[in-house]
Formats: sequence, structure tokens, C-alpha cells
Amino acid sequence: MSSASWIQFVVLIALLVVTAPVLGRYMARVYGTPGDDRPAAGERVFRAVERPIYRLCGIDPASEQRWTAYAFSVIGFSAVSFVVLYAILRLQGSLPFNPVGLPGVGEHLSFNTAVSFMTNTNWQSYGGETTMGHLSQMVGLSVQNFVSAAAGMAVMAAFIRGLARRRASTIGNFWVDLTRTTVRILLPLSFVLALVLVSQGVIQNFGGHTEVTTVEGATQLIPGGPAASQIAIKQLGTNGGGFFNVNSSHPFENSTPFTNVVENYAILIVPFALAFTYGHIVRDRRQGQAVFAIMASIWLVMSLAAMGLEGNGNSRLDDFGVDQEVSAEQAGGNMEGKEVRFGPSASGLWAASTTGTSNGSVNSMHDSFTPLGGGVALTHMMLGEVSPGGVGVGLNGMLVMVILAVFIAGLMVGRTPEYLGKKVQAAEMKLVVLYVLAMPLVLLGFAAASVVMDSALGSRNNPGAHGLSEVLYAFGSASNNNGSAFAGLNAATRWYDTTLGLTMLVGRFLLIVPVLAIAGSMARKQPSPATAGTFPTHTPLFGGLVVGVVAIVAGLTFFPALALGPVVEQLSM
Amino acid sequence: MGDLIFVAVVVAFFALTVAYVKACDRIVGHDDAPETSPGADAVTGSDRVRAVR
Repeated sequence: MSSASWIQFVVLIALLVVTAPVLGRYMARVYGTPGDDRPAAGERVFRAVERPIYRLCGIDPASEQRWTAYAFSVIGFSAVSFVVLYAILRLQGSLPFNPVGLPGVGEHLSFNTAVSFMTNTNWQSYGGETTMGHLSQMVGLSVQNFVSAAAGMAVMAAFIRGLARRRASTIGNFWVDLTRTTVRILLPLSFVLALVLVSQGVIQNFGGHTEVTTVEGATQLIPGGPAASQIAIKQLGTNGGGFFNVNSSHPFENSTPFTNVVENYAILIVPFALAFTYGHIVRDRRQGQAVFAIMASIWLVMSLAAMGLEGNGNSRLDDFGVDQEVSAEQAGGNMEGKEVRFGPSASGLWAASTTGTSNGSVNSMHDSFTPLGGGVALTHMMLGEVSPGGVGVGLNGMLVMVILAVFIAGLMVGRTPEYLGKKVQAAEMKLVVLYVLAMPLVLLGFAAASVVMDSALGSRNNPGAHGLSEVLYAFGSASNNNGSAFAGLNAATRWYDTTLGLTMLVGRFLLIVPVLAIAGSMARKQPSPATAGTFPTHTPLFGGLVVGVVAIVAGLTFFPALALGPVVEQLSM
Repeated sequence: MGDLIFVAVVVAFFALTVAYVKACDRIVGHDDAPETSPGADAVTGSDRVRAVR
């Protein structure tokens, strides 16, 4: 790896370590920290913005919801979001802010896209600049970037309250959490990031295509549009849907190595900071630090693996005498499918960050990674995206794994498992099992169907093991609400649009519901005081146990499929 | 026709999700806990709004 890659990596880690606790404390105040009545920064301004929203929508901000009412609110809000976005996409041809005159989006592509953005997946079976008008991008897709991310964070806030409260029947108010997350966290951060991106050359205009003559004398259409405002929330909200077809490899989305580091930071900061938010709200910062350490250790291992595998190059190219060494003229390593301005290691780092966070944006073509490099990205998603995971949902997944680890530890030492002093009993474990099973079932089920149906097999760009990796990646991405594409599969077909859409729905809501149910169940319990026999859940030993549980659950579930995909491909090289 | 099918598919999915919520509620069991008293144990965003009022 080049020294520039190491510097970028160290700078990114330093930025995260310094700022995540600060943002985490701020977000804890936004959601309400027990015992800390001090207002969050900007309380007066934000309250003035929120009050009309509550009045307009008929929300009583002082009311609380039981977990079922909270879940129904999430479902109702998402259903309305789908219908509105679907209508915008279908009617695009008749709507304003469409300077190129793009027609309405087709039925199954509208279904896939509306589900994709409503579930915070942002899987894209289309090229943004050739399919979406400005209104669709701004009012349709960008709005969903904000509110789908906010909905995930709202569910997380409810989950944490469920763990923190004692003998309570309610876990918060979805509409208040949704509004506060959008107004107090996502909008301000996105505004600042968009300005930074514009200053570095990311475009923000209402223009259409500009016709230019290249230095070779050819004619080329340069697309315009309000990109920066969408890129900012796309990264901060771990959405990932690109304004342009090639996503963050496009110079109008990610213009320089500096913006590459900034956007990589934007992908990671909120999910990592939420670990500290958790520690503040449960009034035990060590718990938050432990969750942060678990998330960070997995992300670190995956990042180093992807950076190393791509930085070391492709052994098959050595046979052809290709120079893959780092030098003053080149970044070295496996440069196939990568931007020269980023290089292979920074592309590997981005791939690890985006697949660990359910972000889904790409700055290189994952299909061109080395087999094991692509396998790292695939495996990172299959871990359940808990390192650090998508905004809100990543912490949810990690806390579910923590409860599972507590249960296993309890079995090992012969004590009733407890977490934060509350007993983990049969009801919670049934819900944990429902959570753990939903994603693999839909991922492996539809992937299996896709490799035996002739019509689906035709979408692969490659046969054999690499073709299987392409199919697994698509359903792994959809089921984890990631949205990144391997880029080796033609998913713009009726089969893939429909099945990937259904996969995204299952991956979102069949995981959110058990999480809220666990919150409702745990909120009712009275914690017991810690004794000498209480298993501590903030120690390195427990952290190691959680990492082991995450790896074993994913390994037992996905190893056979991974063995037939990237592992076989690597061994056949 | 295609529009109706896709919207119907999503509506059907959400109907199943509502049933899933009810099934999970049966797993959780009856709620005999008292109403939340935020002042004692937890303060949420909505609680603070109430306090501000």
C-alpha cells in the first residue's frame, strides 16, 4: 500500500475517534438523556422549526406510544412514503424540473426504486443522469434519503429507551423522534457537508445536459443537476444512492482524494457516534464504549483486509508482466475498475466502510475486485451490517447480537442471562431468533431461485463462481438494505426488480418489528442490582464474545455460499 | 394494470407486517406495567417538550 493510503486511513480513524463521542453526546440530548435536562445545542431554534410541523401534522409531542403503536407508525409512514415516491417516478414526464424531458419511470423499476429508497437501501437498477429528472431526485429520492434514515434512527432511539427504562409501557413517540432526527441531526450535518463538497467541485445546479467538444474533437453531453445536496445526505444517512450512474466514482459526486476522505468520514461518523449516544442514554458510558470498540474492531479488520487485498494486486496479472508495484507514477495494486485519483487501497477502504454501514455508495467497481477483496465486501454485509451498520439500524443489529451473546454467556455459566440488570427471558430470545433468521432466509432463498432459473441466469456477466458472487452480492445488498452493487449483474429485469424489492422490504420491516418488540418487552422490566455474579458487558472479554457470536452466526449461515463463490474463485486463480 | 399490481403487492406486504406486529405482541405477552413516569426513570425528547411547556 502507498504511504498516501496509510495517511488517509490514519486521518480517517483520528477524525472518527475525536468527533464520534462529541456527536454521540449531542444526539443523546436530542433523544433525551435521563438525568440530564440541559437542552441540546440550538434548542430554541430547532423548537421553533418543529412546533409548526407538530401543529400541521396534528402531533402531540408530549404523548408517548406503546411499542405496537410505534411499529404501526413506522409501517404507516413507510407505506405512505412508498405511494408518494412511486407516483412521482411514474408521473415524472409530466412534472416540472425535468430539463432533459425524461419520461416517466417504468412500472417495475418504479416499484424497485420506491421500495429501495423508502427502506433506506438505495439499490439502483438505473442510471441517475439518464433516468431521473431533478424533481424526482430532489422531492422524491432526497426526501426519502432524509426520512428513511430518520425512521431508522427513531427506531434505534425507541430500542435504547426500551433498554433504559424501568417498568414502563411506552418507548417514545415515533413522530417526535422522526422530526427531531431530521431537523436537529440530519439537516444541519447535511447542510455543512454539502457546502464542503460544493467548495471542492461537486456540482449543485438546475442545469440539464451541456454539450461540449472534447480535445479529440468528439461531442459529449455533460450532465448537470443538484448533486451536492443529495450526496451529503446520501453519505450521512447511510443511504448510498448516487446522483450519477457510477455513484461516488463520478468526479461530480466525489471530485478529489480530499472529498473521498470527507465522504468516507461522513459514511461512518453517525453510526459510530450512535454507540456513544447509547452509552449516554442508558446512563453507563462504558456500555457505549464497549459497543463502539466491537464495531470498530470488525470494521478495522475488514478495512485492512480489503485495502491489503486490493493494494497487493491481482496475481494473474503478474503472469502477463503487468507492473503492479507502487511507484511515483502509479498507486500500484489492482487498478481494474478503480479511479486513478483514489487508487486501490482507498477504494478497498471505501468498500469496507460502505458494506459495513448499509451505505451502498461505491467509488470503484466491486465486480473488479480480487475474488477475496470482493469476498470481504460480501462478507461484511452478511455479518448483518453491525460494524458500525446503517444509521440506527446498525446499532439495533449490534444490540441484538449483544443480547444473543449475553444469553449464550448465561448458558455457559449457568446463570439467568441479564443485560443492563434486566433478565433476558424466553420472549426476548424468540424475538432475537426472528430477527436473526429473516435476513438469511430471504437472501439465500431468492439467490437460490436466481441460480436455477434460466431467465435470471441470463443477467449475470460472468459464469461459474464469479457469477454466483454477483447473485449473492445483489441479494446480500438488498436484504441488508445496503444498496451497493457488484456491478456485474443486469438487475434491470422484471425478476430482479421485483424479487430485490421484496427482499428489501423483508430486510427492513421484518427486522424492525422484532427490535421494537424487544424494546417493549425490556421496557417493562425492573432491573436488578449488579452483584458479584453479574456478567459484565463492558469488558474486552465480553467484546470478544460478541465478535465471536457475530462471526459464528454469519459463518454458519453463509459459509457454504461464500465457499462456492469468492473462495472457489480465489482457489482457481 | 402493472401499477395496481405493484401497489397491491406493497399493501399486502404491509398488511402482513401488521399481522407480524400482532404476532410479536403475543410473544411479548400482556402489558401489566404502569404507564411511563419519565420524571423518575427516563427523559425522552418528547418528555422534554412536555417539561418546556
